[in-house]
Amino acid sequence: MKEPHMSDTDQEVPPLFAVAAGDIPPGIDLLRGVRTRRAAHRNRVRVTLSAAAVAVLAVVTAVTLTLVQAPSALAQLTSAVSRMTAGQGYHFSATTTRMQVQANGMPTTTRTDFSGAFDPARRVGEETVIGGAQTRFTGGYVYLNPGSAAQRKLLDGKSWIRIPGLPPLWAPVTADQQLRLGAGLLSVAETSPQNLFALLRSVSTVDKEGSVSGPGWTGTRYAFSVSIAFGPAGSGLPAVTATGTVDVDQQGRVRQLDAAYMLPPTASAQAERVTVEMTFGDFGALVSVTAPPADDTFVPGQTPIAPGPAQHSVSVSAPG
Amino acid sequence: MRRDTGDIDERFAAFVREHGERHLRVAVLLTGNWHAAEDLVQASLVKLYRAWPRLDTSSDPDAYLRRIMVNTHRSWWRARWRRETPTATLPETASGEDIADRHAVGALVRQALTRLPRQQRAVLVLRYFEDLPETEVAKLLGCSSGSVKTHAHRGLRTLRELLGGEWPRSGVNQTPDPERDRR
Repeated sequence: MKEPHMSDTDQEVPPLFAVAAGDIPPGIDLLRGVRTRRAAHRNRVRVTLSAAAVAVLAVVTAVTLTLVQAPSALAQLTSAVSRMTAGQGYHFSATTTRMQVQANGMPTTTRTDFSGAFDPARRVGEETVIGGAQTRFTGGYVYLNPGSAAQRKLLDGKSWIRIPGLPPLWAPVTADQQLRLGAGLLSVAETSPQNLFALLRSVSTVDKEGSVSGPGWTGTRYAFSVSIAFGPAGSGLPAVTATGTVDVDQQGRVRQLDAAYMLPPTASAQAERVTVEMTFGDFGALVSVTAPPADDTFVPGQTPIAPGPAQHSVSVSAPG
Repeated sequence: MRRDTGDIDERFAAFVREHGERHLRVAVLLTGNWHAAEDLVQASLVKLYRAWPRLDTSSDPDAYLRRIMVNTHRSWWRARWRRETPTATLPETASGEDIADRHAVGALVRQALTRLPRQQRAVLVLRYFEDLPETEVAKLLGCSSGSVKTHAHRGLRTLRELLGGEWPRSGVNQTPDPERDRR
């Protein structure tokens, strides 16, 4: 019941909040904590120890705790990130939302759903935008297929473009290189999980938030803040701060990464607000990626490429 | 005892089924994202479950859970949120009517709420989403009605600044809410 003094302005707030709280994502289980507690309570009731055994256990526990220091939240997150950047293959799915104000003052919001797989140890990967572009990472290059006939005209009629001069995917690069790569026509390489993990190597603030769980796993959630150098060294461009959370399972693997950051405007691009939500799984997947056909790949600055051996397969297999 | 426990479980589960979603929506406005909202509600429900056998038939579990959530969020905030690194200002929007994507609007509003001080955020959510009277909000937050008025005024002003010069109008349609519409 609204109070008489509530103004017309105030009455516009409830619908706004209703929208903000409207899109409940699937998979939320509110009773999980209670069930976990009930199961733990039942297990505790079942365990019976003699008085001597209890005393011995207490001593052993006390000694162990004095000898073993729990790793810091920063160390735990860094370890998990390192594992993702150098360890076994995985699959992922992600959504990015980019909000931008155009030169004419009109805001645009772009939501992109994409999925893919990476094998960090072998430095290969692939990403596919749902209903759109495809990206392959192999041989030290990034190959992009914009997925539209109109854009293919810009590539001399070829389906793919190989990006020249791209820093190695597996090393940290500047925010501008990473986060604006592929703006416009091209792919979502700017939010490739490997790029984000590379950024997290320089995380500055990590807080352990608490326990978290998902389908078939339990773990810990960490909140992070990382300052990203925006533009080359000495450019004078400001740093960008990204904040978010990382869920790490008990095997030390990243299960979920959510991040948000604001990119200030540059001479070539408007300011952007970007949010990323990534889910990881199928650890140990076999990821096999081959470069697209050379005669269907546009390489800027080079003459037309002679036909090479056909290489069409991209196979991504679940772990055995 | 087992039968009593089963009754407690069944009644508690029924309460969560019927009212949990509403509290989850409050939680996402308090925390800014669905992951944290789920954590907040789950943690609060564990506390409520512990107290459930002691609640008598005249008590209002909704109000009890709301109080637990507000207090839990406050303790989480004190432990963690002071370390938040502020992001840059949100982009200006030319017109609320131009924002056709409700998903983006929702995310924008949630993000804007996280920019408010905790008390202002809680006041706005309890007053304008939970539709609680000022006196009840004051009791929940442990402050005076005058403070609630002040927090609401300042919070609305900041929220309007963060969301741009155009305060949302017809571009944002109200989500049907049977609970609110019944009041």
